[in-house]
Amino acid sequence: MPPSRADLNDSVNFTGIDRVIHEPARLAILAVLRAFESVDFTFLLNQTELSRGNLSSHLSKLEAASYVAITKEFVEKVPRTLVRLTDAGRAAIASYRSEMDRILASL
Amino acid sequence: MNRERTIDTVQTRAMQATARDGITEMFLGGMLLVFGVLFYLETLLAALGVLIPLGLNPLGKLLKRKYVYPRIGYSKVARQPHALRGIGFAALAFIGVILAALGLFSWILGRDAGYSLWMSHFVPSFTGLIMAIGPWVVARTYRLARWYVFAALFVTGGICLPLFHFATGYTAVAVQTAIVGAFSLLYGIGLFITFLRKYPVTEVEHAS
Repeated sequence: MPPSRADLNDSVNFTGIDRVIHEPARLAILAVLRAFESVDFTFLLNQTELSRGNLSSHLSKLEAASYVAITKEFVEKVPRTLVRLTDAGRAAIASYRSEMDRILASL
Repeated sequence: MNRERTIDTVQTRAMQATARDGITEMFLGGMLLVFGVLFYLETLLAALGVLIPLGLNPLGKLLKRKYVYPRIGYSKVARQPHALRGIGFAALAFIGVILAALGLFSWILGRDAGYSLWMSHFVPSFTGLIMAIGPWVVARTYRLARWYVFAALFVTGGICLPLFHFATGYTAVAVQTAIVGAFSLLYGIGLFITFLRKYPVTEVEHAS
């Protein structure tokens, strides 16, 4: 019989998980951003396969957590939204990875 | 598959997306082709080859801005200091091996015979090895098999061409460079055309 949620919570401490990153769509966004200095909205849209609204909403949450920086510019009169991972975002991914490793090792 | 590998997969796929347009292959091919022809005509003319990337850089930016970014979006790959360190270390190691081999041949066979053997048989092989470093690093960074093929072409070309008994090692190097360049240029053009057909221009921008 699989262990109940209560049993798991007794043996593993989940409180260290960063909920901002733990959401799959935001994790995918951060994973893409980690390899790039900066990308625009269209590139993120193609890579994450999220809808525009979803992507905007997740980016807003990541920006509020200071994990990404968003800047707007015009290139030949066309607006472009550039997104880049901040140092805090990079550190958060590293800490999330080690936290997940710790939890998975203890399961 | 664990979560960490999934993160890496997402990242690798995104990196590979930036290399789908074939522009790098076209430029590498064009550069090598011109360099090979110049080197064949006159060794000193090949020095002009260093100017080629200066001319290609603005053209590359223009192609990206006009044809690539409107289709798959803009991205700027983060610098890879470890890759640059790897290239630097490998290049220094090869130069060391070349100098050691040249010294050994000259010591064993005498200066003239050693130098002649080096020029006719080993210059193309070592040039091939050195030229393979760049494609090999690109292949590893982007996990793209086609760049391993380019690296292999340089190495095998360098080893096989002396068998055709060219007048000098320089001629063999020129031929090798031009052949790989022509292959890369044609392949890059093919990739670029496929890219333009496969990815239509997307509606520009969004709401954030």
